[in-house]
Amino acid sequence: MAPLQKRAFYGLIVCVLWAIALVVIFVSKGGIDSFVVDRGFEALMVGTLVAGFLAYIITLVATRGKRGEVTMDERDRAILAKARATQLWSAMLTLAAWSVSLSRIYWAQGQLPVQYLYIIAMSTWIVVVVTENAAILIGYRRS
Amino acid sequence: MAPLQKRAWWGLGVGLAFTIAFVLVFFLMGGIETFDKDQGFRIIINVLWVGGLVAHLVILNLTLRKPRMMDERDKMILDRAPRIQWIAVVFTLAAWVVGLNEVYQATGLIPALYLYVIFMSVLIVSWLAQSLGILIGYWRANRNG
Repeated sequence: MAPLQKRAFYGLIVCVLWAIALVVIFVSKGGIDSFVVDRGFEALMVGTLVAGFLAYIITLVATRGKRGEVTMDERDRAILAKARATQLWSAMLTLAAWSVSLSRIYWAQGQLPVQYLYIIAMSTWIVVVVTENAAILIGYRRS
Repeated sequence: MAPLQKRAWWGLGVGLAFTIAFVLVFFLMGGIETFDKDQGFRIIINVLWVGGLVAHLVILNLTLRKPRMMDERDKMILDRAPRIQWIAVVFTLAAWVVGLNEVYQATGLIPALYLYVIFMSVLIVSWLAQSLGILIGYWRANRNG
């Protein structure tokens, strides 16, 4: 397994667990209605977000190649470049999905809780990270 | 100057012009309060952001359609630009979260139309960041020889 592939594999596992934890907490605690009023819930979400991010960074550092070691060749670079382009598309699609769905749901009221912005930013960030790792693994599988 | 670099300068210039026009129109015509009510305002804003997208695609595609206009170094620089783009997208989102939270702190509710404005702004930032990413790539390549 190439170092980049190994990194993406472990990174994807951490990110998927991270995303599942956030979704489970969000849904089990009552969704956006509780998120707006319950400061403890908000703190739990932010804590999980930060903990997941730290776990991801630790995974990246732990699977990093040794200092001075050449860990990427031309094929790896091409795969990484495609993964980054895919990442961007995933961010755009996530934002588009949020924009369309929330504006449909809140069309009648014309307003939505400001806390949704946190959820949008968090979800976009996680989707971007998951997509990068998934796209790298798909790139290796195809090549 | 490499053709891609030249196109990136054009892309950045045209993108900035569209962005300034977008921001000016948005604020001069009344902001989010009138965006919902004034159809003319909505049409102008939509023309501006869709026009910016088309202009950006045309400018960069003119280079990308002709393979002989790009060598290995150009391709590498172009491939690295999305990194700058998604970082810019994430920071734009963070800025919206902080900004709107501060402005609408009292009511805790934001107009739903902001979702479209956020999406448009993220797209615009992404085009600008692509051109900027290409230019930074050339700058770094020239600095490192």
